[in-house]
Amino acid sequence: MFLNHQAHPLIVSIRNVTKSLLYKEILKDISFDINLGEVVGIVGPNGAGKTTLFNILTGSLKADSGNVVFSKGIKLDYVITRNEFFDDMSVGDNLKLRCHLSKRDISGIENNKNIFKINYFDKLFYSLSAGMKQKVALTASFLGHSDLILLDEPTNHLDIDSIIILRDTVAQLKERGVSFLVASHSFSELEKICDRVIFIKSGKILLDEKSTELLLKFADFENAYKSIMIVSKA
Amino acid sequence: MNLVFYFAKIEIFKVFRRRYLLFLLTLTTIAYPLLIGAFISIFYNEIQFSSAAPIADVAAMVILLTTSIILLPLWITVFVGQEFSMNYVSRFIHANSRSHYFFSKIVYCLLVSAYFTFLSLLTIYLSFRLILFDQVNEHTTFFLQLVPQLWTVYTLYSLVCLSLVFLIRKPILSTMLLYIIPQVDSIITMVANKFFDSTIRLGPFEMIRMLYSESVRGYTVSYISYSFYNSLLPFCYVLLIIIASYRYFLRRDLKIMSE
Repeated sequence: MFLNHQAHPLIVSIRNVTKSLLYKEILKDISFDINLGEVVGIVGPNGAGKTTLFNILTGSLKADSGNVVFSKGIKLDYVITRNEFFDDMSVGDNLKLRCHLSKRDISGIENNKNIFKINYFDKLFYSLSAGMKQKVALTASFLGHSDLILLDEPTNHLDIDSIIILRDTVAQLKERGVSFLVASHSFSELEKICDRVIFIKSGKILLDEKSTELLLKFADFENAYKSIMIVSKA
Repeated sequence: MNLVFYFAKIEIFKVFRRRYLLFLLTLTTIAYPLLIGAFISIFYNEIQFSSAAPIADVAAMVILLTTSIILLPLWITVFVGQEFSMNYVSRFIHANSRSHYFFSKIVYCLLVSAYFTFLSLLTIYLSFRLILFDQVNEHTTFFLQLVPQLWTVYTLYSLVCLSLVFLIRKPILSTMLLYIIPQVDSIITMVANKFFDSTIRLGPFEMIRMLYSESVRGYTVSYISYSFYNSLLPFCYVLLIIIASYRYFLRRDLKIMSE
């Protein structure tokens, strides 16, 4: 199912999505949209359903009910907190394989390798540190001129320099109209890059609001999160 | 057709760029002719004495060994099973689709079967030429007939292995089951033969493995081709298994949790 990309600024529309895993309801009637060039942050405790939502968006999981409607012709890429590279393949070959899979030109690797200053293309993937692996995963997601990029805990294992580079890259791509859905536990990072933030708990959306409005009401995301979570417990 | 080449290109790229698989490829290419050649040289006298067409019976033995001693099955379970455990399947599906992934694995099975067909022919030829000093040139027609037959048997067998991997999705467990199930399959067939005086084969593995042997039995080399393709049951059986496995794969969730 597709939206008309020309007439509508929507990139993806998620409507009434419900998902159970092992007889436990993980997502309960989730609905929200992501617009063109918008950075949406998603925040919630462990087990809130963030990764399940990402897996539904990428097609790894199928929703029990509800719809995920993408704008026609959009390209989606993602970095999920799991390893999707072959450990016994070099970094360069892993990135080439990623290009082959998506039928993209491998010249993108050369253009993007300087983002995170990757100079270990010949190393086997398993020999990399967690931070280096995360940089490769992020570089891979930036290879294909995607319209929507899903980032699940993108700052995990990254050093300070790389976090700054990631933030700048997201800002640059956003200027070009790329949309992001970012799940993170780092309020400070989300405050800097997000246009909108969604608080999710036990598979339910507790809040979906523009960052500017939320900051006006609560001063920062952490205060907002604490207040919303207290209300939800009550 | 372009899609088949695209899948083949990706599968070949992975085999030659993954160190583990490249090692397995090298090991198989060297060890297979040595191992199978040793079996041929040991059992040839016995076969020659009891068979009307010894070279055809040697080919039957090669098929049984290739499919039973974790050579062909290993290439399917380890390779495809690892793709599930390493989340490569999710990435492929995201870039293409579930149907594309399934068909890419069928292409992979065809490639692996072609590789083992080549190895089998090479081994039979070299064994006759170098160990048994037989006149292989007299059997040119037989070798030409054997190419599609070996490829068919290996493809059918690997497709059944593939279905099991799509069901289990774990390389080690799939390998263990692929070792156990054909044994159970053989025992059931043996019991059925003994107690019910029946030659019926219920399990897919035994049915496919015996496809060639059955066609050879009692015939001379020139009759093998006709007898081989006369049996449609294994083809239909495998087709049903593949369709069921495909439908199951389309519906089922992939790995559910992040690491």
